[in-house]
Amino acid sequence: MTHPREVVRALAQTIVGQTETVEALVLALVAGGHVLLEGAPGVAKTLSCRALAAAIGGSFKRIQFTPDLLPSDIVGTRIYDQRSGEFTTVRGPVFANIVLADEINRAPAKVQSALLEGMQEHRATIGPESLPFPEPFAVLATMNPFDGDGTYALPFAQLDRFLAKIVLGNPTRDEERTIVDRYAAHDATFVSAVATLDDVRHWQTEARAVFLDDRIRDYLIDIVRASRETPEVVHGASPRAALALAGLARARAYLEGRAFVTPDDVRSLAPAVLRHRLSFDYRVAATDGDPEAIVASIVARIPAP
Amino acid sequence: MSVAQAGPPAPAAPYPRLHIVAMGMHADRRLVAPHDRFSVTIDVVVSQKRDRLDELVLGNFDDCTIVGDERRHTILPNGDTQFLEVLTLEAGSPGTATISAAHLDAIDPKVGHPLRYSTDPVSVRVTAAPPIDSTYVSLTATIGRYARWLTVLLGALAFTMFGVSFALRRRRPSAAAPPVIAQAPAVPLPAPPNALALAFNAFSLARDERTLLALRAQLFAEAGVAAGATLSDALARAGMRRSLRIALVEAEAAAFGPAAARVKAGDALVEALEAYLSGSGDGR
Repeated sequence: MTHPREVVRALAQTIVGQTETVEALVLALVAGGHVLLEGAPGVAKTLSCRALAAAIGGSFKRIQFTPDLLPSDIVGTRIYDQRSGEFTTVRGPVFANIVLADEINRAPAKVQSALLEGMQEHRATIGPESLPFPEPFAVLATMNPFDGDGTYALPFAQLDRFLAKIVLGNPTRDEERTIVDRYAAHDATFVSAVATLDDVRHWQTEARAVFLDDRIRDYLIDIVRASRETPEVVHGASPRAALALAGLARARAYLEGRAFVTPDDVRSLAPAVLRHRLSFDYRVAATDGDPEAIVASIVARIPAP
Repeated sequence: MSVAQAGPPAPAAPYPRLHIVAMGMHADRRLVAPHDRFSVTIDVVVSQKRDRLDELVLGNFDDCTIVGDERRHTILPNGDTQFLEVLTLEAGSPGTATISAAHLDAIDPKVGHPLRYSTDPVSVRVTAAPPIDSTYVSLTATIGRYARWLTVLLGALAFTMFGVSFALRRRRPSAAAPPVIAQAPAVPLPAPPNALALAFNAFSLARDERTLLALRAQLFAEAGVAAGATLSDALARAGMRRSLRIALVEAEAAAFGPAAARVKAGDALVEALEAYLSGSGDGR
């Protein structure tokens, strides 16, 4: 049985820098959740997802979200077979272990809903059939913070389905030099599977058993509740955020080989869990306020136990 | 010294770009008489050359008044700048004089967003009775004073005995054994009162949640972080003090680990702290 740290190492061989992103992707996989990735084009969002699927030997499907996409393009459809005279089910790209929903905000709400329903239930209904997704199942959705024209903002109820939102920054100069040296001459190569899908299911079961002390449970609840009591925030995080934070904190403890969650686990992951779940007052945007700084201040003002 | 970080209240304020290496506040005395003067020093180290630190905001002063304020700064060999603000305060009526936390809002270039750096608050007891200081310095002074009295007393006693002996020898000039002047028994100086050692003793005597959390708090203070910080903050400040680092990690396991693992973690904590307090192994 391998350890999820092996997957982190394998991803680091393909992805230059972006260590927090790589770790967050593995954490979300272990916690059994979905991730929203935000970053400028070309910062290895897609590459990270492909590398993750390769590292666990899972199936990978990429869906490019566009304004004319239909729900059946994602979930699948039923096609009439003239020879047999029956309808047969054709499964859509969502039936994969790792699904990359590229530029999710470019598709209209009904398409987003089709995917988000599957994210919650881990199954899709095609005609009369309700079909389960392969396990493990994770949706990694990307959003480009620029090019706002022609996009459909994800409603908060849908954003809440994502365990965490990871913001990818630009690489450092040294990292960029390595990227050019490594990938200018040939395409990225993925490290072959260092773990199996059974391993991932085993990690998910073990991570759920990681001990969470009552004081740490209360600490993470305090952080989530503080988001609802911040003047700059109109709508704070839901109780689902507390569940997400607990799950991710357990996954981080497991990744680090600990049998219990520490306040550090909670504090380090809280921004990723909160940032896409908060709705900020218009004055924050009007005064060029930094939502990220507000999230950081919410986390910082709750003393750790 | 401690650095506690928290978000500043307003997100868009024009904060300076500063990397705060260390920040702390301490008083030179813990116990004073009414109207006594004492000093409180605020120590801030920033990782750049600066000649002013106007952004430092002092806290409130309860039951004491400022009678002096001296600021100085030093460029350290590594290019950092250390700012010292020495406040001379006069204690008020009996009770507790409290100097609340000083703070500094800045954008850490490494983080890129505003952070609030705060010291711990400082409290000084103001008592009408002659102060029996709990600090090491004043305790040593008290013992020194008693030792001087004891020396004078023994000297007087020896002189008296010598005089009596001399008188007796003159009255009865037989060969008598020379008088033995009693030596003062060697009194070992007590160890300086150390909050960490006291918390460790309490935990050793009764291992329960209360003593464990008190010990963990003292370990954090020893590392240089305030209450409300996390283990990673403490480890970042603990430097290369290996035993302290081990103790911090074990305290975390003892405090937050599953019940079955807490006893083992407690044993490891005791072992690491014994090594740390005895000064063996990590050049404390």
